[in-house]
Amino acid sequence: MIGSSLVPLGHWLQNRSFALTIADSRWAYPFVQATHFSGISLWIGTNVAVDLSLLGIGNQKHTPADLSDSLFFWNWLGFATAVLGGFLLFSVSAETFVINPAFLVKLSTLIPAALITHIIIQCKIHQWAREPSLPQIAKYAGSIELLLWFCVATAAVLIPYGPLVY
Amino acid sequence: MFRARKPGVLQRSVRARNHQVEVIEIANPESFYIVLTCLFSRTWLITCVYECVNQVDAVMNMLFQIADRLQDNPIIISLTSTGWTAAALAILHYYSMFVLVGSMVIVDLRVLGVLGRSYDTGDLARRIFPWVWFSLGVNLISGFIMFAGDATAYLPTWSFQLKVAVVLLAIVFGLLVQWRIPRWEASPVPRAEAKVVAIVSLLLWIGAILMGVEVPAISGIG
Repeated sequence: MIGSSLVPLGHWLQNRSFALTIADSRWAYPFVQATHFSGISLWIGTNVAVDLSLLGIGNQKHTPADLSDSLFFWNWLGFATAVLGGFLLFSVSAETFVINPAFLVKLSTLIPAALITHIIIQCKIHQWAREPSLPQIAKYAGSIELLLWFCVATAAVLIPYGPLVY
Repeated sequence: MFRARKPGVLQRSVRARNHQVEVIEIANPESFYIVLTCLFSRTWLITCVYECVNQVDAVMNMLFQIADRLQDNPIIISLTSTGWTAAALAILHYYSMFVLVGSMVIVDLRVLGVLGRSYDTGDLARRIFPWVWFSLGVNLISGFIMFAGDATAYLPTWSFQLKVAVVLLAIVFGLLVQWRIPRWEASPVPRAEAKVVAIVSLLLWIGAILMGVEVPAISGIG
């Protein structure tokens, strides 16, 4: 398994001083979790808003391209916060995470796929907006991105159940 | 002899010895305040608190017996030990929490005037609150089943008790927001009460999320 070869790396990361500080402190871990969740709220929330707009759901007050532009800053701020919080959470118990199948699937497959889809959408959305009506590919891209982020969230929820697979 | 009705006073008509109808006062604001003072006298309060503390012990014992029976219930056991049903319960619990808190936050931020100023608050509330209560129902049911699977372990854990308390308070404030929005809308000036209730509601739901994640982190259960 790929995961088991990363266990020494996980063990090393877990014992870095910043990870040990977070693990020992009573309040730091909830604070880091709150950071990760706030980042996710901004990131996923803005992504879903643009995807739903691409699919034509919602009041369509703004075009998908306008929405994507106005939410751009919050979108990537949320991503940065989520990644920072996520990395800190991971480093606190890295050893257990690298052998967790749900976490491995989430990080190695689902997140890269969703991220690539998201970047493609953000790059192409203006091109799609210039056409008289939103092309079909835009709708497909929106629904694929929605599905992928849904899968990421499901994988994250299933992380506590990962060890039960063995 | 008739006496005119006095506002704020409880009156009763009696037939006096001389067969005349008389109106007497049986309670007035002054007597009410005297009764209140007696009720809230120190000794009465202390006895009350003492009794409450004793009863809490009895209630906890009763809850433990219920928890024991819950844990041994065959339906609960099969729901929480089968891999895919346990995972499905977790997914339901998380996703219903996303909808619940997300919807509440939308309403709270609108009440605070932070976002969505172009939407009418009452209209928005009417559209969103059904989502809040429906997802809360799914959340409570899935949460209860997950709790029941390990009830005797969860019950004495302080982090779980705190989480339940925060969630209950958050529900109360959610109801408060829903019921007070028409009055806040009707008022010509922005009301401070609206902002306070909305902020508290927001913080309570965020606190509920944090407590929800802290229970396994602190206690190791679940």
